[in-house]
Amino acid sequence: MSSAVVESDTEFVALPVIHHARAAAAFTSDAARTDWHDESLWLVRKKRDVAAAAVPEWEELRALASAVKEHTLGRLDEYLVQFEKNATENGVHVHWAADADEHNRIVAQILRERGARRLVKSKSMLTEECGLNGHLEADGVEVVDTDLGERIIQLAGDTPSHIVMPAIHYKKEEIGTLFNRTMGTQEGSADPQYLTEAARADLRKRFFAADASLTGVNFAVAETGGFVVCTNEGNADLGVHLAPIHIASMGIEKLIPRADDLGIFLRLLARSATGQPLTVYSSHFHAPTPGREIHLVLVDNGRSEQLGREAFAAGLKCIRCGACMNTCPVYRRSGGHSYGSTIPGPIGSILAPNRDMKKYRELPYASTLCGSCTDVCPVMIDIHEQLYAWRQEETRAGVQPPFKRLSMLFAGMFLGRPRLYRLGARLMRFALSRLPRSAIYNRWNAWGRERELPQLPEESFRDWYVRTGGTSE
Amino acid sequence: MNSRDQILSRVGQHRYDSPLPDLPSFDPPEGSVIDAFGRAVETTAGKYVNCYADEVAAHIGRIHSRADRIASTTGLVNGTVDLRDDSGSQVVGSIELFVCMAELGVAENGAVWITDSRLRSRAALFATQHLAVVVRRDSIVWNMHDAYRRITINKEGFGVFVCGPSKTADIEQSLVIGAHGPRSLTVFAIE
Ligand code: SF4
Repeated sequence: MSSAVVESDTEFVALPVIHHARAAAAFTSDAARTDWHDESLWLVRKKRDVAAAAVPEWEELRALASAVKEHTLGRLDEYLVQFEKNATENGVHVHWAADADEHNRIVAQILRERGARRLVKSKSMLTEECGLNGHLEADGVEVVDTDLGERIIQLAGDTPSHIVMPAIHYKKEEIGTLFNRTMGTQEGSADPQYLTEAARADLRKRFFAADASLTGVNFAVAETGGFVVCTNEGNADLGVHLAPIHIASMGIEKLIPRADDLGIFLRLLARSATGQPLTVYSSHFHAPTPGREIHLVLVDNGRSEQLGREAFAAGLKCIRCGACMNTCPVYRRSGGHSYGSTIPGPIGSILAPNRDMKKYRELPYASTLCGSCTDVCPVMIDIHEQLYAWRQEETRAGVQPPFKRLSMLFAGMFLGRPRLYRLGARLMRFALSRLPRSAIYNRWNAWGRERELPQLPEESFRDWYVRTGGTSE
Repeated sequence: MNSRDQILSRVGQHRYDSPLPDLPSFDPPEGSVIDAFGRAVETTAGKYVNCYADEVAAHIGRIHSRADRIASTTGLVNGTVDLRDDSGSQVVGSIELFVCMAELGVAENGAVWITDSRLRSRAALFATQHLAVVVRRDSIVWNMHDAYRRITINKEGFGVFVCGPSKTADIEQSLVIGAHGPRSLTVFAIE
């Protein structure tokens, strides 16, 4: 599968830059596949619409969810301490990780100290963000991803291209071939029912043989010290309840104050994600069964820093439903890998620059600024406004490539000086009608690469206005 | 400074005030909440049976006529598997049908709330091939807000909303029932 084009940046001798547009061009070169990808995601978006429309108080719920998250983030230190105290009293071991590396070390140590060699994992974007699997494998731990989509990705040696549907970029025939190679399923079989059954049988053995399990966390409740994990397949629970050790990794932004706040978020999450009224399992963990252990790792990894950026802190409200991806015309037609970050799509494009503005400088441009992401977001993050704000931020910080800097400088010069603008426009009209095609459609004209420039009318608006005084002819 | 204090102090530098909203309450639509619950269960690909308590066993005998290894934590149905708190994975993994009570049902989505005390083994709920859950009609509420008002999530160590049989759509978005957990769910609403 295609991954983002990463190459060293020639203009700066620095870190590699993710070239979204180039990676997207590679993706769209297969037109039929692009259409198929586009349509699969649009289908999910439509299911979300039906589910949302069936709840009369939908908009009220969004506003409430947004307000609860906003409130919590404003006193996150307080709620973290409250959560830690209650969780500890419940018998949960709470760990703190300042960054990805510390998170991985904590998990590795828990496993090592208990001699656990076989770990079953359910879906967790945080562990993807931290690169946990590779770290543990280097430690000699066998890591098995058990969410079907993630298992496909793992067997293929790939990375997820969507946060809810990690293998959305695979065709069933490709999965059939993969399973034939790795699990010995019938050659040529691509029936989803059959392939799922094969994975079920294969993974069931691994669930029963596991020494430890790891899950993500969807919500953690400060007042009770418990946490909630939402899945459809039952893989998280099967892993957790069969293995003696349960490790849960969560970003510090997952906290909510009250148990009853869950009502708001659970009503929004699955409807936004897949159009289901609720995920099949919403598991609430407070204490381990006697003789077993629950470890909870609280991870910062850049979140506290983002909290301090006024324009971008709201990105921390995200509940990872994926709705902004499914609705995004750019994501649907460029694929998740083109973003080159763990979390792709509109939300990924406003989160990634928080980590590295230079490396991810193209992502805020992977958008038409149509605002559809903001409209569907269940926690009302101003995604498209942040995409725009990041572009400005990049210019201020001087991380734009020279060509973009120069063209913006020129544009600013022309647009800010009416006389110059008029002269330029006149020259342009003259030139466009006379210059040979090769002079207009060249490598500098990014717009014209896939499109024709619009036909210019004979007379400019200004000339017409001056001539007629604005009265219609 | 250790990581805990470091994180707390960094987060503490960015405090601001923003009000915590009151919890909402929304009226149910017209019509019977029980019927809405039944329809919702069916939408999640679950079976729904509205009957008297003493009829549950007969229904189960009919629906799961081929199930030999039945574990039940409710007096309404006799199990064939002796499930205990400390049952090993061998026992748990062999269960064909697991039957238990739910504390509450939610009409807006067809979910049932099940906790430790009704389970005996947490793993059984997920490892069983088929699942049957019994809920009393008078403990069915309209929506999730009502549900959370009624339950206490930390009363027991573990509680779960179950909403349909386990499923996946990870292969080309085709819905497959019976991913890792139960392949079917039957919900009984009793008086
Ligand atoms: S930003 Fe909003 S829409 Fe996108 S994944 Fe997060 S919560 Fe969902």
